[in-house]
Amino acid sequence: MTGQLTNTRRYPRLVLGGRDLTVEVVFVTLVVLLVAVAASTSDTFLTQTNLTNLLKQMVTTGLLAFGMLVVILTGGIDLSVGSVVAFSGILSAGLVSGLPLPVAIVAGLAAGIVFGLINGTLVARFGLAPFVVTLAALTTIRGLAFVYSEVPISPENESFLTLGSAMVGPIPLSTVIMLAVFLVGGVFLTRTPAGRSIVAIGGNAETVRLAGINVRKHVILAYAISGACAGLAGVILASRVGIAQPSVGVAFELDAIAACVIGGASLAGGRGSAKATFGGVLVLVLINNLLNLYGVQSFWQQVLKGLIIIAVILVQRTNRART
Amino acid sequence: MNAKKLGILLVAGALAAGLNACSSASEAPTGTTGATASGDGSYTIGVANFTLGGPYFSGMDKAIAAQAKKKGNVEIISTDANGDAAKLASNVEDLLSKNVDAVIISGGPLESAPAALNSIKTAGKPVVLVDRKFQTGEYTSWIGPDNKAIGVQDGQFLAEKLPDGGKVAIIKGGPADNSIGLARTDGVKSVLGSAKGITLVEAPDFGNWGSDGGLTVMESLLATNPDLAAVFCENDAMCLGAQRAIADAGKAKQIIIAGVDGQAEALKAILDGTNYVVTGLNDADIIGSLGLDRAVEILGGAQVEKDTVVPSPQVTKDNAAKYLDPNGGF
Repeated sequence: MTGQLTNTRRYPRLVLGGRDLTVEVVFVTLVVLLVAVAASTSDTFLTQTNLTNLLKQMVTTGLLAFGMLVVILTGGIDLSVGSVVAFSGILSAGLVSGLPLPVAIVAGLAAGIVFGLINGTLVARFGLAPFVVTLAALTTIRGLAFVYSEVPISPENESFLTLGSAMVGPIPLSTVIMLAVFLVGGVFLTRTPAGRSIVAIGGNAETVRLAGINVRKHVILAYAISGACAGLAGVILASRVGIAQPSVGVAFELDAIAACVIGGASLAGGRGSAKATFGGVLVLVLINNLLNLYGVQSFWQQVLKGLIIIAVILVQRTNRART
Repeated sequence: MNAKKLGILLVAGALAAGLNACSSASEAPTGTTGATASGDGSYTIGVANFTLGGPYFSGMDKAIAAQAKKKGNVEIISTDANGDAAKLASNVEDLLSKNVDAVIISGGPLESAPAALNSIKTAGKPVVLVDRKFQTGEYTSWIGPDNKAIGVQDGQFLAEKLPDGGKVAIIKGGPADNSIGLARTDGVKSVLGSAKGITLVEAPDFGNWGSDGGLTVMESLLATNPDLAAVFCENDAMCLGAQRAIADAGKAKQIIIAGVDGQAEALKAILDGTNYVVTGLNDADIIGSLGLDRAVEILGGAQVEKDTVVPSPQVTKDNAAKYLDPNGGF
């Protein structure tokens, strides 16, 4: 009887050619569809300028989304990433005036890691809710960015700008860095003991603990990775814009979370992949780019973006909710 | 023992605070009756900032505090509403309950703040608006820029620079009901809309008043309109981002840039003779210090002008050096 009950509560399934749609198929179809529509209706889409724009504009969201994914996999959330972007950016832009470029970049990255470690420690050691911890971090770190400099800093060292504007062949250097993060990160999550532990913790932390794995250490590691990604994103963004602002990055965490969720990651933890999250980033950036090319007004863009996110998630849910 | 001591201390403190409040309250009327007393009476002035998240607004707050320090007899209590209108109202109530003599409101993009203005009116205190003039509600005095005039100025300069016409892009800060930005854009449009040979292209997406937003919006604009001749942004921060995007696209020789505000980096770019050619000075330091002066004048019983427009001089390569203050806050 009960079995039948659960059966009747099944969500409708989308079937294509006799097979259920998997997350990957949905993505490839969606991206191909978006690109096809774009290419056929807009003369601008396939121009080199626009494609380079696309590649550049996915960097920040991409980096933040990967870090967010790692935290979400543990069943947590990191709301502080936007503030870390601001702090790391303005710190490295400020330091580059007196210190060598690599030191300034590493300092920005290190600041992100330190914030991540603090977040992770508060969550793992003190058992505080990730939402609360990182919400507090969001305001604290934003405040610190303003404490460091209330006014935007334009770095005096010209070489600071190369990170954001250099090209590797036809691809921006920053995009290459982001792709590398996803590649290495994907391998880390699926092939290494530490990465697999992080995924497993989100599935069932107690089981992982009983298996003799240090849960706390891995949770802290997850937040540190998110902090590192946000720090890197902050440095790259400051370098790209040429000016670091303490006010930058407000609500960046939302796009990062959206990318993860579109990529099928479960906010309850334990499910999600680097590949699918990258798909989520692509979808978000493509939507933005397309709506801009069509000259859709900004407020309609917000409406459409929200609706598209819901639509994508609904499609995924219908195909996953089979127990 | 300790608790008792603490209790006594608290009572003493409360009494002292109460006495203090009484004395400052009794001082205010003497100040208003005799103009000569204004130099001697000390005042407490509350500053209600809608936001400090932006160099312009934090510069304004600092300028008010600096001017108060210069006066010597004015104490400032500054509050920040973090961009929340409800918080602004409760901050104003807090200030009134601290018995400030006057309130200065820096309303940012707010159209109006009825709750805040009402409670000040009920308390019978004067209120000076700086930068932002509220469309509704009673205020004692307003000091700020004429945003439309700044736009007109930029528009005229661009029209002169583009005698053969061309495409001019407009980057707006947003959101759609931000009337500061609208006034600036209206000003530009009122000149360029009718100028011969000039086509206006409005970016569909908002730049959110920051350099990063200006950069991305400009990148999209360059993809859709590679043949732009000029770009106007509703503030300098966005223009600075746009300038980076234009430089990255190798179009620095083709596209000239016009901004608003007089942010230090923009002034420097103008002075250096880059493609950043003009901005309209919207000086937070001047507006902030004039705002404090105005509040003190009112407390001293002076009859003051209700609305004062602070002129926004046009800044080009010829006069940028005059306005570029390497030590200035903004």
